[in-house]
Amino acid sequence: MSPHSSDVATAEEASRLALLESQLAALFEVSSVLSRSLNLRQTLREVLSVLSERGRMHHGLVCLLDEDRGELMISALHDKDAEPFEKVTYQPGEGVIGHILSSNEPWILPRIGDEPRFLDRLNLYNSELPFIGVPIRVGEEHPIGVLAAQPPPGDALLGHQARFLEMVANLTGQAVRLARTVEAEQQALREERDKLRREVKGTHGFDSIIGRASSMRLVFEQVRQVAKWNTTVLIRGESGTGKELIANAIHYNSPRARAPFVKLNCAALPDNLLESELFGHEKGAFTGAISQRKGRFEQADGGTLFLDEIGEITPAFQAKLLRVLQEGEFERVGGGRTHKVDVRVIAATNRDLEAEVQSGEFREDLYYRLNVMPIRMPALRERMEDIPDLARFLVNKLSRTQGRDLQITDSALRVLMRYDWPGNVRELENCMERAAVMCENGLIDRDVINLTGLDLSASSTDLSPPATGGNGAQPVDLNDPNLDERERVIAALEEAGWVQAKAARLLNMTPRQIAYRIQTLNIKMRQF
Amino acid sequence: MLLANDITGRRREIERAHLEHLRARLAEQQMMHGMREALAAAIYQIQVPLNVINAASGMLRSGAGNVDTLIGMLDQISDSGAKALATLNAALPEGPRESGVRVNVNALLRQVLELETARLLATGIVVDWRPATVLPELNGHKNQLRSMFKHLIDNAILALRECKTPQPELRITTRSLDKGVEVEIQDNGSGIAPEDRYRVFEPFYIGWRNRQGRAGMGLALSQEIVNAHGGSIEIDPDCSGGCLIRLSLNAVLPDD
Repeated sequence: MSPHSSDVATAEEASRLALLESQLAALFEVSSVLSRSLNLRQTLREVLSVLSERGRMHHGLVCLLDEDRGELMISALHDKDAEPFEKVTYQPGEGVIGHILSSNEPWILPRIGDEPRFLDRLNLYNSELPFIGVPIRVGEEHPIGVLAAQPPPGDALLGHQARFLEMVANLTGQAVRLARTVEAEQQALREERDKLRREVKGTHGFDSIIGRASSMRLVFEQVRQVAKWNTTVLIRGESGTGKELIANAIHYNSPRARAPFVKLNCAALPDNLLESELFGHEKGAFTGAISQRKGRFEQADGGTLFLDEIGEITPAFQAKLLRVLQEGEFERVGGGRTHKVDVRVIAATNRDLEAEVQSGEFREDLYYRLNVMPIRMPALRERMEDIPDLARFLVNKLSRTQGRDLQITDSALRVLMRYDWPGNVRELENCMERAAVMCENGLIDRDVINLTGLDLSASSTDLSPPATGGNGAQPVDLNDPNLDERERVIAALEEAGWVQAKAARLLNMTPRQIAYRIQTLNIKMRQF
Repeated sequence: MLLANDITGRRREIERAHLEHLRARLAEQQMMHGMREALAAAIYQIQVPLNVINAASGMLRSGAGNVDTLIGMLDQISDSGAKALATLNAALPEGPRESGVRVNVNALLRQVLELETARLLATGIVVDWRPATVLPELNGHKNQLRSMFKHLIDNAILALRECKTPQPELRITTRSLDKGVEVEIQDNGSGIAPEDRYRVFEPFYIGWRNRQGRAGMGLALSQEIVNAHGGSIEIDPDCSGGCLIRLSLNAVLPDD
């Protein structure tokens, strides 16, 4: 070898080493860029800019396969001015890029101008220079995209450049796969969340509240209006009248429907626990506060907070609550920082707040604050006409949960309407549940109702003669052909005040006939 | 002879259409008038208890009032308040009853877009209309839904007009859901501030720069209509560079 050629060899060797050195540095930077964030587009753009600055690979380009459309879409492009590129797509096998994807092999063009298949859709590449494209693979499967760039001119080390680009493509492949998995999972979660929200909304809207009585229609109208505003609402009514259902309906018909709905029963907790439950606490605020905890107010931020049994809280706590209602501000227990929240508060109580204000147990200012928009739930005995609908609704619900066919007869409904329901709808629900357990054939009639232990003698309307009393109860048409024999006899007996002879006349029967039917139909005579 | 007949027929047709138009205009005008009068009367009625309250608080502050007269005044306030409420309730017009029919949301949106074509063109808005290829029909109130879409699209147009975006764009997407339809209406206007995300749905809320003659009922009505269709409506909190309204509609019972 002549000294001249050995010089050339060493110079070549030196430039090869320099290239490897710079590629190693570039690779290091690429790897750190890839582990930095999950935003795929931004990561790809940064990788390409590293390629351009460190690896001297210009006009870098990443195309990814769009699974839905089966096309290659340009996902990132490095250019001097980073203005948004036009949407350019390639079919698999189309042009150089498409060919690399379908052949799953790197492709080195020593000079772009010599390759007729180069489409130059981006109008970006210098046709005098070489061009390298490599597939982006994930595992052993088909490539998911193409990474391409233009190395500097006159480079004898194109093979090295291609190998380097391939390394970058392999690293990128993992990042793409990770980003896609995360995206798919998030999408699935979002869809599931929305689906569940729709279901919850469906079960908590107006449809789940039964009521045709005018007092209930007034409540519905109030709920419809109050849902639109951000005002604090106070729901009053005896226990078991469905105050929570109304709170649900307000939330799910308001613009906050997609935000959280948080409930808390104030009577369930002592004062100090209630405070940390509502406002949260900092780590170490008290014994056992081993970690920082968000309170219900923070959980409900942007949504609705339902405070049941608001009448049960102590005056000291009422002061704190008043501040949140007025300013929307509070501190966590043991914390100095003031938190601000945007929460609509719905409070409920069955207590006589006016009397408590008078006796000094309830703060007057809080009372006025809560009383901006009071909604009064009527007791069940004030809306007897809703009992049949309610009972049927509850029986249908039970029949769905128990998975068997359940029916309630008209005679049973009439018994229900004679009771005055001190426990309101909740008592009716429990009664229906007991009746459903006790009836064997799925038919709830008056005997089953009587077995559930409704204390009819205690009810006031019971004393009023014949069962047709009770507002809204219609006298039964005894000639209704749809009425079965047993029901017809019971209806007549009820109308006659359980006097057999009178009932017999109503049915155009003799006393003997009706007595026989009472026996054969196994009707339990009412005891006075 | 034939020609003459033809013209008479057509002229009669035109006259009829003219009359029809006049009738509609008149009804609309009467309605507007009525609404104006009702609102003005309501304002007056509310003035009465307010005046009494002002007088009472003034008297108390100067230390002149005693409890007995105060109680009398409070009674007067609640009396006149109750009376105002009663008159207003009586003046409330009956809501339009509409029976449920099978509704194709894509078709409704297309109709509304056609109605709005002139305004869209005048503002230079590019409409990106992306209907779902297959959209299940759902039971719904056609007129209500149509007017809701018009409210929402009107809002988008107004927003684009107010903020003078260089390339105003309106994107409308429909998607079929498990048991319903999702619609997204997105503009690249100035958007809605995060703290106003819920407030915009309140009645009387007006976010426009030019507030004159607006009632602030568009989004409140939309919420009402969406509720009636068992759906939900929200302003996407993550959307930057414009406003994205996403709403879902579920099937409702036809007898509702």
